[in-house]
Amino acid sequence: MGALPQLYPCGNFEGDAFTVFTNRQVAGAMRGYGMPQAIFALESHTEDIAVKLGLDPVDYRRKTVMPVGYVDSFSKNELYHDTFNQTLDAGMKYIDFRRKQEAYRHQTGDVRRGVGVSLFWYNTAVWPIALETSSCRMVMNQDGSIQLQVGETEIGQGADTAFSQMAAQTLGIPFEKVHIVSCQDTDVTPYGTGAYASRQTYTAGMAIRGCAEEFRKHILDVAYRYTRMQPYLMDIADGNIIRTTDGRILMTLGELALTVLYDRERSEHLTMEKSTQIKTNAYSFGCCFAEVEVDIPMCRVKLLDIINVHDAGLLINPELAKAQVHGGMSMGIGYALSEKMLYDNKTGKLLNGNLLDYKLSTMMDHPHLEAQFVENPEPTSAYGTKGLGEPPVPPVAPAIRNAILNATGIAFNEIPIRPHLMYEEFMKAGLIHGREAAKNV
Amino acid sequence: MSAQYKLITCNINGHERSTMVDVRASLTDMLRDNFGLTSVKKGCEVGECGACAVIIDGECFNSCIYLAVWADGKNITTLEGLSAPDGTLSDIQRAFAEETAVQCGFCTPGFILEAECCLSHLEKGKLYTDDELRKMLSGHLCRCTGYDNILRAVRKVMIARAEAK
Amino acid sequence: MYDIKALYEATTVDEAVSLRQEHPEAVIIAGGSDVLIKIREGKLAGRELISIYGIDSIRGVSMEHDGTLRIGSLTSFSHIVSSPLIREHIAVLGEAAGMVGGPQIRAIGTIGGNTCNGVTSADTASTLLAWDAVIELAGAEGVRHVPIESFYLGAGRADIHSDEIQTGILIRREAYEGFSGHYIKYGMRNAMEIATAGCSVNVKLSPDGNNIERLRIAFGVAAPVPIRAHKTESQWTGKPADDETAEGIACSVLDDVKPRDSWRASRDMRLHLCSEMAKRAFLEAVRRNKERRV
Repeated sequence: MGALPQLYPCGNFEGDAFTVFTNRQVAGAMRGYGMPQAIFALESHTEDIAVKLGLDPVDYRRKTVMPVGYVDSFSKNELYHDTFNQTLDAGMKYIDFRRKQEAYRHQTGDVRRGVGVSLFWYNTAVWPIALETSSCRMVMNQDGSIQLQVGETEIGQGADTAFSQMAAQTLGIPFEKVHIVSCQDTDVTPYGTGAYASRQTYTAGMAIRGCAEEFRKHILDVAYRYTRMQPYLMDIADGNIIRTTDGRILMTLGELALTVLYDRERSEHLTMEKSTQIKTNAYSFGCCFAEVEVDIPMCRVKLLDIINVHDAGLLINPELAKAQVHGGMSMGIGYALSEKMLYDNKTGKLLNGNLLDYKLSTMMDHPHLEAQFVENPEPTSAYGTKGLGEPPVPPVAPAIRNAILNATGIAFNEIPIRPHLMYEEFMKAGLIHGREAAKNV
Repeated sequence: MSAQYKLITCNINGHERSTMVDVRASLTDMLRDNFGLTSVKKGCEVGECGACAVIIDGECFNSCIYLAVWADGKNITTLEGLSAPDGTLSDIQRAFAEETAVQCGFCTPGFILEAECCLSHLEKGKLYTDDELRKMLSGHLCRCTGYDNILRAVRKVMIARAEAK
Repeated sequence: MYDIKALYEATTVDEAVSLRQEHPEAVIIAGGSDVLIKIREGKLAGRELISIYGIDSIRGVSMEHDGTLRIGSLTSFSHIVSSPLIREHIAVLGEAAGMVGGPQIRAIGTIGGNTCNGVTSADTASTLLAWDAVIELAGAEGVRHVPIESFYLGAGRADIHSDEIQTGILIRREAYEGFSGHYIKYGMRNAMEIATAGCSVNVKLSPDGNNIERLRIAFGVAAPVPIRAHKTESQWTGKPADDETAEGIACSVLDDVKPRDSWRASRDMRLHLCSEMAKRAFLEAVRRNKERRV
C-alpha cells in the first residue's frame, strides 16, 4: 500500500488492502513479492493518467516523482541524489526513446511497435517492519589468510564473492587470502536472518565491516608485542603489517599469526566474531524501458529490446550486479508475458505443473537484456551499497504493458499478457474480428 | 517385476566402461549411480529442462529420457569429461566463469555440454548468428541468469576458436 | 528408474515383428520422448516395452529409383533437419521438424513416433499430411502401405495392427515435384513447445505462375487428429494465387476445421488462428513457389 504515495508523493491518499484465502496452490515468497504487483498497478495507472491528460509519459513522471530530499516518515529512508532523472536519462538514451516515440505515432496495419517506461522504488532490507541482524566470524590461518563466515547464504547470486571483497578491503588483505565458507550450516555458522529481501550486501556488509575493523584493531594490538610499534602507527595493507609513518613492512600477517600462535608466553589464535543489529534501511531505485512489436492478428508480442537502469548505490562487483539484474529482468518478462499457473475451475487442480506447460522463457524468448547503473553511494551503508536482488523485477511488467499500450492503444490491466488475453481484448476493441466476420469477407 | 539386468559396454569420458544396468534405469541413473558423475543433474526427469544433458556420439541428448541399455556401444561425454585430468577447465567452462554465466549452477552442466556440442559442429570459417545460437541452446531452461551471459560466453568461445583455427 | 515390467529389444524389423506377436500387450518404444514421459506420468506405468530404437535399417532418409523419398521411421528430427534430400525436395518438413521441442528432444524424437502416437499437435504430422505422405508398416503378413490421412483413427490411435511396426514414411515424386510449402507453428513460446495450433500449406502454381494448380492445406490441433482442408483445397484450386484468394482461404478453412475448447486455448481463439495461419502460410508458400521459378 505504501508503493504509491512514496513513488509519487501525494497529500491525499487512502488505500485498503485485504488478505484473501484461496483453495489454490500454496504460495511462497517469490523475488520481490508485493512490489511487482504494486508497481504494476501503480505504473500502469500512472501511464493511463499521462495518456488521458495527453502528457508525455516520461515528463509527467519526472514532474510528479519523489523529489530529492524526500524522507519516508515510517522507514526514515531518504532519496539523497537526483536518481530518477539520472536513470531515466540513461534509459531513454539507450532505447532511443524520443525518436521511437515519434516513429510509432499513428501506426496502422497488423504489426505495430511501441515503447514503454516504468519507474520503481524498493526497500533494501526489512527494518523497521522486522528485526535486521547479521553476524560475522573471521578466523586467521597461519599463512595470514582468513576463514570468513556469515549467516547470509550464497544462493547463486554471488554473495560470497562480494563478502570476500568486502572483508579483504577492510582488513587489508588480498582477495585471494579470504576463504569464505560457502556451505553455511546453522550448527556452526554465526547467526544471520537469511538470504531474503535485497539485504545481503547492506546488512551482512555492516557485520563484515564491523567485524573486520575490530579484527584489524586487535591484530595491530597483538602486532605491538612483536614490533614494539604503537598500534596507531601501524596498518594492514596487502597482507602485511606496515608502519604508516614511512610505509615500511614490519612483518607479514602470516608471520604474525604463526608467531603469536606458538608464543610460549602468550599463545593466541587470532579470531574475531561480531554480531550487528541494523536499524537503518535504504531506498533502491531505477527504471525500465521496453520496446515491443505486436502482431495483432496473431495475438503475439515480441519483446525487441529492454533496459533496466538501477541506482543500487556503489557496486561491489559490477559483473555480478549485472547478472543479478539480468535474472530479475528475465523473471519480470515471464511475469509480464507468459508465466501463469492455470487451474481447473471445477476441481482447483493445477493444470500446468510442469516445465512444458508452465511457460518459463527459453533463450529464444528473450532479447538482449541491457543492465546499466547509476552509482550514487548510499550514506547509511557500510560499503555504499543498497538492495539489488529483487529490484530488477518490479519495473519490467509495467514497462512492457505500457509499450503494448503505446503500440496498440489497448491498456491491459491484467498480466501475464498471454495470447489468450490479447485475443479477448483485441476482439473487444475491434482490432481483430474473429471467425464470424472472416466468413463475411 | 523381478529385476532384469543387462551388461553394457560404452565409452564414458574417454574410458571404456562395462557395467550391469537395470533395464528400467535411465542414462541419468546410470551415470550418477554407477559412475558418480553428478554433473548430470536430475531436474524435471521428463526431458523438459535440459539439466541432465550429455553428449552421445556427437549429439546432445537429455539422459533422463534415454534408457541406460541404449548406451551400449556409445561414446558418452559428461561435464567431467571436458576438463583436463588435473582439473584445468576447458575454454567453455572458463568462459562461463569469466562471463558470469553461472548463478545457482543447476542448468550449467547441460548448457556447457550443449555449447560444446554445437561449437564442435561449426564448419571452418563460419560463425553462428545470435539467433542460431539461441535456437541451439533453447532446450535448456534457466531461472536465474536471463540467458544473456550464457549467450555471451558461448559466443566468446566460438569467436576465440574461429580465430585460433 | 522407470516403472517398466519388462524390456524386449529388437535390432531387426523381423525381430520386432516376432516380439510383437509374442507380447501383444507390450508398448512399442522408439526414441521414448513420448512413451517414457507417459511412464513417468503413470499412464503407461508397469507395462512391457518393445524397444525398436536399435533397428538401424529403418533410420535415415533416402531416395528410391522412382523418385520416392523414403524417411526411415527411426530418423530423428535433428537428422531430418540436416538431411540434404529433405532440404532439396520437401524443405518445409525439415522446418517443421526443427520446431519440435528443443535440440535434445529433436535428437531423440523420431518421425515414426511423432506419427504413431496419433497426436494432433505433432509438428511433422500436419506437414506430412500436406505432402500426401504414405505410411509403410511391416507385419507378419508382409508390408502394408496406408495413406497418412487414413492412418489416423482417432485421438491417440493409429492404424497399426498388433503384429506391425511402422518402418517408413514415403513421399512420392508427384506429391512434391514443383511444390513449395510453409508451416506455421503457433505456440506460447519459441522453443520447448507443443503447438496450440499448426498449419502446413503446399502449393504448386500454374506454369505462368499466376494460378494455383495444386493446393494442399493441413492443420494440427484443429480436430482430434491432424486434418486436411479438402473443401478449401477444391474450392480454390485453379484460382489466382493472390491476396484476395488468401483472404478467401482464410475464410473457407473455417468450414474444414473443428477445433475444441481446452485449457490450452478456446475454440474461438483456435478458429481465429487457423484462419490467420492458413492465409499467411498460403502467401508464404506462393512466394516460395514463385521464387523457385525465377
